Amino acid sequence: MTKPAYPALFHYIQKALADVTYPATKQEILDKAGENPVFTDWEVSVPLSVFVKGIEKEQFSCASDFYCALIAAMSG
Amino acid sequence: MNIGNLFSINGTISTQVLSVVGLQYGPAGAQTREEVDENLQTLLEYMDAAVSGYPGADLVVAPEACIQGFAPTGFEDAILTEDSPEVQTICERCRKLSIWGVFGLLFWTDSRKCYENTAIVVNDKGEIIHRYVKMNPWIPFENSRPGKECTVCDGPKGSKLGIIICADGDYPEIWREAAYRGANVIIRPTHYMDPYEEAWSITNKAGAYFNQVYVVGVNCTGLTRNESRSCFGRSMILGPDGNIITQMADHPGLIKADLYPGIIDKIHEQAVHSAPMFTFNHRGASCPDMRGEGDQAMRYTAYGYRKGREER
Repeated sequence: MTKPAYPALFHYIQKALADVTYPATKQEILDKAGENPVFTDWEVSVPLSVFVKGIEKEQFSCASDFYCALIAAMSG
Repeated sequence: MNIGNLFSINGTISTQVLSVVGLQYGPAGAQTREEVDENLQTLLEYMDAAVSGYPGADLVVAPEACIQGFAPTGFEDAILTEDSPEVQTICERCRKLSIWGVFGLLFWTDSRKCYENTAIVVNDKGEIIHRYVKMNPWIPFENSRPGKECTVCDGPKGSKLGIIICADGDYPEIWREAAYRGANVIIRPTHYMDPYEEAWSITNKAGAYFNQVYVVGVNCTGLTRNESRSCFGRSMILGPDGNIITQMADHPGLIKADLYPGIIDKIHEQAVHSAPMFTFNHRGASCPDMRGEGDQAMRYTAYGYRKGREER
């Protein structure tokens, strides 16, 4: 049986990052977008900062750089 | 435009518009300076036509060896130097037309024992601001001295031009080198001949797609006087998704497209997925064990990696 999964997590992460341009530091991302809500389930949201604070890297050359670090942190 | 990405591209993209015109014709295989000058007149006529037909054009691109062609033998007297009058004439025409240009030319090396298959970039003031020497001569027949590196120069309207020449484009590493150095438009002047029509299309598409850059490929056409191989034309301009924006048939003429260099820069910065300029140097970066960095060791034997060598 397929496990239920919320479909829009990365959709909302990307929307939360709408004003972020790269290269960027982790602090800049937190300052600019840290408070933006990210839905993690249909009725549950948390600030983007919850995800960003767990990233080990401090600066990101491009969006792909940021997302790789983000997913690595979320998976670890 | 952005078909290669899963995520939306965040941010505002502002870009100038680069109007590019390719000059597709067949220079005769010159063996004398008189024959070089005949080809030069053809080039100048095509440059004039480019600005007449496409007012406001920013950049013209001529084929490889655009005023010398490739005579099979006896072409020593047609090889030039950078201060040859013919080169000065080309530069002066760029100044008078207020247009940038990329021109493939064969120049003597200092030893005068051989030549370098070169492309120069001339700005709209008539100054040569960039030189590229073909790194992959079409051996064994093309016995020119190879260049050492593929650098990039600032072009008009926010473009960063990487130049590769003809058979260079059969080697994926040189496309990558140009893109990695920041090129958002890779120019490929060629003398690509029959029967390699499919290779021409495949390599241009691959170069554009693998590196997410515009590609402007300008080829010769026809079996011209004193040449032994025919060229098929089909000059083409491609987008960063590898799709052909426009292409010519096999007749002499002009091809034109408007390009948006700022979009390429933005894609390279803002694209979450399909970001080859990042991922090729950060393999597996999203694996938890790799902590966002990935494996940066260049472990490809073809890129110089040898067993036991770990430096980056």
